[in-house]
Amino acid sequence: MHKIYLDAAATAPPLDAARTAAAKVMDNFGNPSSLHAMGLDAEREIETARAAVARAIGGKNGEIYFTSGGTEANNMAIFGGAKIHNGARVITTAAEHPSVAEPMKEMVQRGFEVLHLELTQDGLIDPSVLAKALAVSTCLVSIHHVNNETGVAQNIAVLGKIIKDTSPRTVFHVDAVQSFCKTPIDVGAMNIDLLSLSAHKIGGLKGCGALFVREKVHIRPMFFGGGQEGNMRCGTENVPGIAALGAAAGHRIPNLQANHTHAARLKELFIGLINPLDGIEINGENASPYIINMSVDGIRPEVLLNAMSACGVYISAGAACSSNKRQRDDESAVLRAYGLSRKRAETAVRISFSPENTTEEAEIAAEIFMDCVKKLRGNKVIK
Amino acid sequence: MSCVQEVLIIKYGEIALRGKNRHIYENMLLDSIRKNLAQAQCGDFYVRKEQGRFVVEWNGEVEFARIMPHITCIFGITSACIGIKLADQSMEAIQAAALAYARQHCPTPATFKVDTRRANKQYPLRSDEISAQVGGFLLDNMEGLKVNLSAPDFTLKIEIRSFAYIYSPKSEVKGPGGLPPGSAGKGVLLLSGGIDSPVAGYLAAKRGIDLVAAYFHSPPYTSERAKEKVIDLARRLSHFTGKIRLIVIPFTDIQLKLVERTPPEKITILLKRAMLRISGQIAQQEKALALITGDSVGQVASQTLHSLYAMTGATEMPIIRPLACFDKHEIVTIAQNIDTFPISIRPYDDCCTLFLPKHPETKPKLSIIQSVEGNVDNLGELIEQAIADAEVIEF
Repeated sequence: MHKIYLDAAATAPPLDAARTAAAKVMDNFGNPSSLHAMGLDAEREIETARAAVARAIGGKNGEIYFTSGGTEANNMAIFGGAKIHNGARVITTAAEHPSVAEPMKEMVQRGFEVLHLELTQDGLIDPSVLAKALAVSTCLVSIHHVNNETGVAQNIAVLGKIIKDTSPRTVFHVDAVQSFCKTPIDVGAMNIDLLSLSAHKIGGLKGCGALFVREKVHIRPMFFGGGQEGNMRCGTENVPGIAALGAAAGHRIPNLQANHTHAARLKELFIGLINPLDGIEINGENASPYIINMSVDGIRPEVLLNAMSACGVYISAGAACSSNKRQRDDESAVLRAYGLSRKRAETAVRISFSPENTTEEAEIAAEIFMDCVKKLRGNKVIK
Repeated sequence: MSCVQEVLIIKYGEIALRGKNRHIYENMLLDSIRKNLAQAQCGDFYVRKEQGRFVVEWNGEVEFARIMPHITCIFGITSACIGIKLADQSMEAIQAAALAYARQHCPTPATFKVDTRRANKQYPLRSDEISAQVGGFLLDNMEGLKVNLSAPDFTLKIEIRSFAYIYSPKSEVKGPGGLPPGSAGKGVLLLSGGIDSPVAGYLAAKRGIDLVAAYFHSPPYTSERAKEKVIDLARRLSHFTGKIRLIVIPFTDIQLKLVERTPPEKITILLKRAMLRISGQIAQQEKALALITGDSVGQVASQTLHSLYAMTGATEMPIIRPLACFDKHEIVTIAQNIDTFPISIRPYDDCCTLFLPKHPETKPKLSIIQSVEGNVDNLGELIEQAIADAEVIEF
């Protein structure tokens, strides 16, 4: 059975360039902090990767701090970036990934006022709502770029400008885990102060990510120790992960536009092919071409997921990160935040592409999707 | 002192009460002890049968602390403790060894007593005479001791058998009790991913029932992770039973057929009847003599007395329901003690929860259930097919 992997938003298949880069470091295994030649070689690997990541987002090399992944970068940004003397208010949305949403709950415990911006049915932030929220002195705004469940992309440039114009002291954090190397990012033009990214979503390895911290912005580190990463993130560096991240970013950035176009074609093709089905609603206008989120009437998402998995097509129910959380009702918090009905939020599945997916794969997957939906709808299951 | 040796004294409960077939049970227990010791690589050992006891002795050094858990998990054993074995049964030898033992194990000042059991009736002194003499000897030779026969701080046990043994009840580690693994014959356990059924399996195994577990898998309605959970539960149970056979029965077709043909409020009862029927047939294949379920009276709609009565006729096999009269919290306590609880609470649905009606019947009528079931065409064929397609996993 040919396997078709359509869950790249959960994790993407590692790129050859990333595998090669990681394997090279296995031979060249020195500790970057060691003073000898092997240590220096390892340090060079890290600095090469740092430059590649910096280039990918229009930042400076010295503004990139490697972390253990997106979750750590988000935690570091929120707990390190919010300073009460700049205002007790923190602004975010109700459609954030758990690695932002959960730290926000903790922020409330720590005495901050966390304000969740209302979203339109399309999942977007109304810039005027943000401007109004900034009237109270605010220390941090944390907003995702591309939503992990729906693919909806916020207009970060517009939001960034509003923040800099109305409240220049406010730190602007963007969770760019789903957009890094997929959607153009320019931290300067977008007025971003902190930006989280992850390696394994773009074909790097798991266990590695980075936080961009604008030069003049100071955040408190979470880990203290041997002074690595400019004392911002102590602990011996994950050299294979970092080398692979650099290689993956280096491979993705030159092809960003072409990949974007290709993903858009896959998405259009898939949606077009399943069009004959009734009771399918696409969630999120204006979403990233890499993600399709849709509600499939009358079928529990994990049942559809299991059925497709048995046919060798791997998709996701809502978001993979939340499927091991113990919640009885499987509704998507993100779709509820968009103001969509409970029924629609309970029946959402996510299909996410990587640039390596082919049009043939999209065609076969669409066919299997149609078969599974028809078959499952034919079975009278008590809801 | 070469005739004084540290040994492991293992006591078994109920088996000792058996009549002429006692040796069969003893040998089964002996096999389990030998198997566990060999598996745990416990060195060069020898197990001696004494009346109502097993005594394990070693050639060379032994780490008792490491060995103990491998013994005290065996069904049929009530306790195990480290004691002294004396080849020389003279009173002088016993007194010397008792003094050495008391000095090591009895922190003074303390009250004490000596309690003797004389299985070897040829021994020239009676039990109470031995106790008195050894007690006197300890009083004379050890500071800070005082006799208290009713509630002593420290009891020194002497047993005169084919050898003399000395130990203290304080150092006894409790075993699970029950009967030796497999001594009762085989039973088919209906294992879901829940909290109750693994506990039912454990209790059945404790009474010597060899387990074959049956799990009903309904892809795509139940996920691979739900199956993985049941596999992990079966593996956990195999720690107690030594081995386990898990039979995974594809249940989707049967389930869909029943859902199509049954009023929603009756579906749970019909699904359960189908499961019992299949398990009954598997029991025959496996030469098992009973089915075991995790039913607890009144816990959910399908476990009311009415609902249990409505299972009548689904199978000819006797159904053992070890948890029938347990409260939920009692079941949870056992589940925690046997470490199945953390596996059971993983959030993956089993086939019943996904098909659960909003208002299941709590007082189903057997006659109606039977007639609804009778109207489901080719159910028998579907069941045959499911059994033929079952997957077997051995632990």
